[in-house]
Amino acid sequence: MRPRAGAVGGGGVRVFGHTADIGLAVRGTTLEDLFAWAAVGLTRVAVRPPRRPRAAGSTGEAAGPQALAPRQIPVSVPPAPDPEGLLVGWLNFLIYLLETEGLAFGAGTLRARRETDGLWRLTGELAARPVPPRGLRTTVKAATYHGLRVEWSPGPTPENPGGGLFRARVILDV
Amino acid sequence: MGDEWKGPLRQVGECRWEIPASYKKAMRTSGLIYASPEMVKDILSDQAPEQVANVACLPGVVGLSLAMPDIHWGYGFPIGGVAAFDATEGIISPGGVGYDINCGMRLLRSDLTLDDVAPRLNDLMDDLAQTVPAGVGSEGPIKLSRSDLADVLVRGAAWAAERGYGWPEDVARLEERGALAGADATKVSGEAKKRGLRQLGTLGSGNHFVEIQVIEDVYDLVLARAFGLAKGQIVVMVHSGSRGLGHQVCTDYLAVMDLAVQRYGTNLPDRQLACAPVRSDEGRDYFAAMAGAANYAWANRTCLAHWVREAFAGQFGRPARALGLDVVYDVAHNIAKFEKHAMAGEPGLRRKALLCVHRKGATRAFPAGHPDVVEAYRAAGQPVLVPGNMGTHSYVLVGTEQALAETWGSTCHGAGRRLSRSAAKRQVRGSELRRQLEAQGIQVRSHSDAGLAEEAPLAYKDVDQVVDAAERAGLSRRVVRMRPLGVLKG
Repeated sequence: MRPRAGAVGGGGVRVFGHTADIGLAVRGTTLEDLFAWAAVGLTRVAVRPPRRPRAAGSTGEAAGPQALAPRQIPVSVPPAPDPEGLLVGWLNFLIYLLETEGLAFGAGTLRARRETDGLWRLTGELAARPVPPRGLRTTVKAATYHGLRVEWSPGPTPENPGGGLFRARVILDV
Repeated sequence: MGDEWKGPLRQVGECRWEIPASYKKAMRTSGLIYASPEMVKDILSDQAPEQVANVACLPGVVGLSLAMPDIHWGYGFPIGGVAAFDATEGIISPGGVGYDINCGMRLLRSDLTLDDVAPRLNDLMDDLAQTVPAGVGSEGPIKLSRSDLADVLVRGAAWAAERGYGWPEDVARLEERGALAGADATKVSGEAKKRGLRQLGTLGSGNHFVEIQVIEDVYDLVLARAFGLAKGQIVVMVHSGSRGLGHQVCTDYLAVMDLAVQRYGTNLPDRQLACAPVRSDEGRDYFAAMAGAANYAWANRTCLAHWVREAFAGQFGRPARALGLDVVYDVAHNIAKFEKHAMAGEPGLRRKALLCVHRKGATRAFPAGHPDVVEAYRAAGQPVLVPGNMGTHSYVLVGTEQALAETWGSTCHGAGRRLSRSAAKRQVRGSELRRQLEAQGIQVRSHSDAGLAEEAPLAYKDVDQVVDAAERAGLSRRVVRMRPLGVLKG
């Protein structure tokens, strides 16, 4: 699962304005795909797009692949009563990583599941990309529960003719 | 800022509008919004009144679900919302405090006048921008150890003053003397603590600011004198809160409460109102952590005031004490507290009940004589600090007996937002706004033009209207009005 700019396999994310804040409209073919796309949306809101590497011999802020070598981070998200709560917990974990470690989501190997105690848990590992100095553009305080939803549309869907699609909306407090 | 609200709103007095308890089956009491008739159209333009009704559905609510004249949409509770819950049977809700726990205002006075500052304003603003860490992801020069942080969480402003980031006498002029009792550092998560280690003494971003102002109007000479204020005097207003630590405490406990809601079988009209019985383990833990974050915020504003004093001292070549840069007061406007209040309807209002009062985007406004007003102002009443926006006035108000009787001693906290951040950015460019403000004689320093545009004056309601409505409703009275000279935006 490595979301890139634009839709891949039906997944994607759109950033929209909401009251004082910002929302993410996310879609994914699986819950894990949905979570990864939500992470892409959060990064888009909080982090300036990486600069293109300058021509050889030029000076300036390093932004090449070596400067942005990812770090593997184990996922740590509190259990939640439903996928919606898990999505909020996931995004808040990423907000914490951004603020304390200067790391943004790059890619991830995630597993979301409902366990026997009835709670949803998210496990796995993410490849986190260091954000260059001055790379943050917006302080995101938190992902919120306001108007939060995660819905499953059985396939085929226009975005994923081969199957169904998860859709989510989540508002970020900025 | 969103869909227009279509519910019932009935005028029940001057600047008083009721949402009847019959509006929703789950409402346990009525809602009451304080606003002048000319403000109602704006208030109905989003779902904030629905949030007033939602708060009225929460278990153990005492009295009415209240909203101050600067009401606007928030997460769970509206901004401007005030609600009290029985300290035994009621709930406590992180959504009733907000993400920025103890976001609040501090005001410094000075012995300087406009004539002293005007010729140096440009340099002074440059010095402030250098001295006060501000902007997205800002970190400051204060590096806390984990044991320092544990002290900050319990002792608040006193910790900062003892370390030389403030004056010993400062704490006597802060709400709660800068430390809310009941804080427990062990209830603040490791994640929250990590966010707090490098951010003490930083302004942050969003609507946080440091503003140099001149007192332009004095409405009550006696009270102004009691607060150490006079016409033509230079003052400095600081707006900030508990930074990432407070955000993380709110986030952590919303997740805890999200599960607690199921455990205690609480029905909620909005998941963002997640709460727990105030006497449950979850409720007690949240209060202890929230109090810790509140104390971090008081320490933060103490450090910010210290940077302000340093910038002034450097620019004027005299110690800050010689410039008279004393604290006037410091108020929290996002907090929950246990307070004893007289119960309306009781003969002589003699019976007092212990309540958990949530103020979210609302300021405590206790009257003269109240034992919780700091000694220096007990005869005058509690100062209330109300910022406008960077293009308009700010105010110092005073609390009233009527506020104590009607709103658990609460009034407005600011102008109140009327445009979304994105809508504000669509209407004005940061660079253009900077030019407009400078044409008005207001110096602006900001780390981001986009951030500046988000906080444009056009994004806010008219603070004069807000303060006027609060006064007509008897919740607070004007003491002085300030005009901005220079704004350092977070």
